[in-house]
Parts: sequence; C-alpha cells; structure tokens
Amino acid sequence: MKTAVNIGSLQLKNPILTASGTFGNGHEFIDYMNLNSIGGFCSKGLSMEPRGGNPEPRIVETASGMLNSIGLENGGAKAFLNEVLPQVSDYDTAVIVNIYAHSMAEFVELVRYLEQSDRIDGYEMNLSCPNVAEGGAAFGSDAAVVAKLTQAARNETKKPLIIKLSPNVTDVREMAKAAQGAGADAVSLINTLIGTAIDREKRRFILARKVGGLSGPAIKPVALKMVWDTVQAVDIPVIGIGGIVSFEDVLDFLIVGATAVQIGSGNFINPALAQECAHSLETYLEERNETIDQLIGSIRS
Amino acid sequence: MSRTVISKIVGTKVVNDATFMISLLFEEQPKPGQFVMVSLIDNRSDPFLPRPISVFDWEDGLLKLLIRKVGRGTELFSQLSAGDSVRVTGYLGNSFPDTNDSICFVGGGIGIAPLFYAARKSIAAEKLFLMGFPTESAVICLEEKRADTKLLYATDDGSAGVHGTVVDMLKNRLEITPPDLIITCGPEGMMKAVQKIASPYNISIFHSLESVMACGIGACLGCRRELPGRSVLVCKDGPIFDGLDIFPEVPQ
Repeated sequence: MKTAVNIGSLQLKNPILTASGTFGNGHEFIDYMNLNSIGGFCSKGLSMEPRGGNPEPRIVETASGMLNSIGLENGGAKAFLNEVLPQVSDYDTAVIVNIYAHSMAEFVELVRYLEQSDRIDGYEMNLSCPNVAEGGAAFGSDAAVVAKLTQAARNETKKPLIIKLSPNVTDVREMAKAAQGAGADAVSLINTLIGTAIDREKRRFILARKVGGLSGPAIKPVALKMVWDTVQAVDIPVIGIGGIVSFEDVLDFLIVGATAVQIGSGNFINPALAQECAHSLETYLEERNETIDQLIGSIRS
Repeated sequence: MSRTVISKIVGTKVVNDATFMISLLFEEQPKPGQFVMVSLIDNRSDPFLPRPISVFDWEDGLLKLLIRKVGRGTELFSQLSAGDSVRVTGYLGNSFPDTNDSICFVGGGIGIAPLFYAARKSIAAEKLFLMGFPTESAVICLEEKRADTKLLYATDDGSAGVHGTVVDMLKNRLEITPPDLIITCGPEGMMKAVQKIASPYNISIFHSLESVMACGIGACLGCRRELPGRSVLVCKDGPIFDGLDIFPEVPQ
C-alpha cells in the first residue's frame, strides 16, 4: 500500500483518520462512504459509565467554525463493546477508541475492560476535552499529570496508545514530550480551542454551559503551527487535527510533518469528505510519483 | 438509504418577502416529513455548517424546498439561481404517520413546509390543511392546491384569510368534526396550544420539531432533546414525535 503509515505497531492503509466526536461511532457514516477507504476512525469519547453530556444548546456556528459543548455524551464501555463495535467490526479500517476518565484509576479500569476486545486497534487518550468539569483538559495542561496518566494506560496495553493534546496550554511541546517519555506511541493535536459566543440582543451566552470548544477552518492556522512545533520536539508520530475541510488541508498537515491526520467537523459538512481525501491522496502521490514518506515532513526550512 | 450529493438547482422562486423556493434535482423519493441538509459548495468555510431544510415537495426527481430567510445561511441560499449547485445530504429523519380516515395538518408560518408533501401523499379520505401567519405579507400561497385537500388560512391581524390564529381555526373544527390524526409544524408555542386544545378529543397528535444541528445524521449530538424517561436526537429519532412525549405537561 503506497499510502500506508505506521502509528506504533499499527499500520494504517492511509493517513486519513476521522476525529473523535465528529464521526459518531462509524456506523452513522456507512450510507455516505466506504469505511474501508480510510485509515481508521476515532470513536466518540468513551467513558466507563454512560454519560449524558451537557444541557442544550450545546452547539453554535461561528465565523468559519463552530463551538460545541457536548460534554462527552456516550453510552458507556459495556454498550460500546456489546452494541456499537459489532456494527463496524467487519470493516477493514482501524478502530481507535477515544477514552475519557475522571481519574487515573478509572482510566486503568477502562483500558483493562476494553482490552477484552480484539477488534480495538488502538486507544486515543483524551487529555484535552474542554467541555467537562473534571479531567479532560485539566489533565492535559500539566506535563507531570500527562506522564503519569500515559504511563498508567501504557502499563495496561500493548496496543498503540495515542495521547490527544489540548491547544489551551502554554507550550504543547512539553505535553507531547511528557507523553513520549511515558511510552505513548503517538500524540494527536489539536483538540478544540476554548471559546464563547453571545446573543447580544438577549445579552446571554448562547451555549448553556457558556463556553465550548472551537473547531473548523477558523482554527487551522493555529493547529498547523502547533503540529509543526510538535513534530520538531518529539520522535513519535504526530497526528494533525484542526479545521480540515479539503484535501489541500490534509496536504498542509502532512507537509509540516504529521504522520496522519484526523478530519473533524468537516465530516458534518460533507459526510463523504474522509473518503474523498483518501482517494485524492492516492491520486496526488501517483501523479507526482512521490511516496508518502517523501511527502510527510517535506516542508522546506 | 441516505446519501450526499452535489445537486443542481433547476429553478428558484420568490414566494414572499422572507420566503423563497428552490427546485433541485434529487433522484430518490422522500418519505413525508423527512428533511435534507443543504450547504453551499463554493464557500466551505463561512457559513460553516449545512442547514436542515424540510422536504416541501418531490415529484419525478425534482425536490422542492420552501425556505424562510432567518439568518446568514438562508439569506445566501436565497441568492442562488438555476444552474448553481449545492450539497444535499438526505433524506434524513423519520416520517409522519398517516390514517385512511380523516387527518388535519396544522402549520404555523414556514412550518407549513413539511406538511404540504405529507398532505399530498396522505391516503386519508378527508384532508384538512390549516395554516396560520402573522399578517398578509407573510402568507405563503400554496398554488399547487389539490382538490382532495381543503386549505384554510388565518392571519393574526385579520389582513388576509380568517381573522385569528391557526389554533382558533382548529378549535372550531374540533367542535364540529374532530379528525383521527393531527400533524403539526410551527413555533413550539403553537404546537403546544394544539396539543392542549385537542387533548380532550383523544386524537393522535404528532409534531415536527426544528432544532439547531451540525450534521443531521446523528454524529454531532447537537440536537439532543430530553423527553420523559429518555433523551433523543431530533435529527435521527425525529424530527417527528408523539405529542404526548413532547408536551408531557399538557393534561390528558
């Protein structure tokens, strides 16, 4: 496979992934695209117990993007293994489970529980959700905590372990180094930037939780810069996320050195976007007689 | 099965100051009450999200959308013309129930949009379509009237049609011959008022809800709504819900 890339021991057929929280659990998209066409997808953030998420309104459109404060609503680990995963098991695509917990003990419990499934290809540890009161970004903004949690999950699994990082920190490279030092196979960034929007007529916050995470093309330049910085700071693969709505955006992240990318809220606008990007990448490399390894990190200094 | 395609606009029409119609090519046939997500394709960034728009009508591969200008997205849609293309994802959501006896559709303002196709497709022996608008300039004339559907409309200020609200019209109707089934779409206040005045008659009532949504396909979880004992997604579990679930506070 000319487009294949490796994340730890996991080989992806191509570097196109979809981002947690924007792709449901894969099955929502099977009417629109062939899941086999992409490298893999990241599940909706999964916690040990079911979570209801935050009150409505919890999304609002903003200039070239959107704010969300969903708050990791999910059906819990048991329902995931028994009801959700079987719906996508037969597809030839990597299933990366995005995991969320309130504490180290709960992360350990969750990974242990999920290890019983051999259909899970890897884990993405969510240390960056801005929409929860406990854990999430609070964990991901302290390098020592990032190291401790990464190590705890590492001890439970040999499967690829990706740490998803927040842009809402002073220096994302410190978090990436901490994750690498504790045995992470890769880091993925960026999660959403914290923002808000108000209704100036009513003089109220639009989101019930007042603040949310900003995604979409508005954040792409920030994401691209942080990915480029991080690529230079660590030796493990960096997965680029942030405002990808076209194949050109995918190229930009690969050129600055991302080993793979995740398409996020772009899936909302065009539910076939990930497949189209995977197809475009194959054509692009063929036409230029270029390998994926030559493309990745080809930015001129 | 739903799909996402670039669809070509074959016609547009101004309906009134705030409302317009777009006709576009879309091969599949919808179920009454379903909707599509529509987005501009020449500008993927701003406005960012697609807009949920209900099916107004469909015939022989021609999909008609009746749209009210409510913000920047729909304002841009109103500037589209024949030959332009948009991204359409659909059909989405569940569909209206039907009856072979008598049915009454109650629409408020742009809420009449999903009811027209439902009325046209309904197998009910008796069909009544009640519409309410604030004033004459807001009235949406349904030229494509059909002989088997009785259409009546009211305006709040009496400037056209019956003087009063669509709920008043329904009230009068209920006192004469209550239908078996009532289907509504409009402001939630209107839908709740329908639920209230019709509840003594033991009629099935279904409402088509509107919600902000980013994807329309159950992925973003932006359109969640709490119902008694369960939470639902308006896009996937709806947009049509039993009135007993939507307005549990209305006494039976």
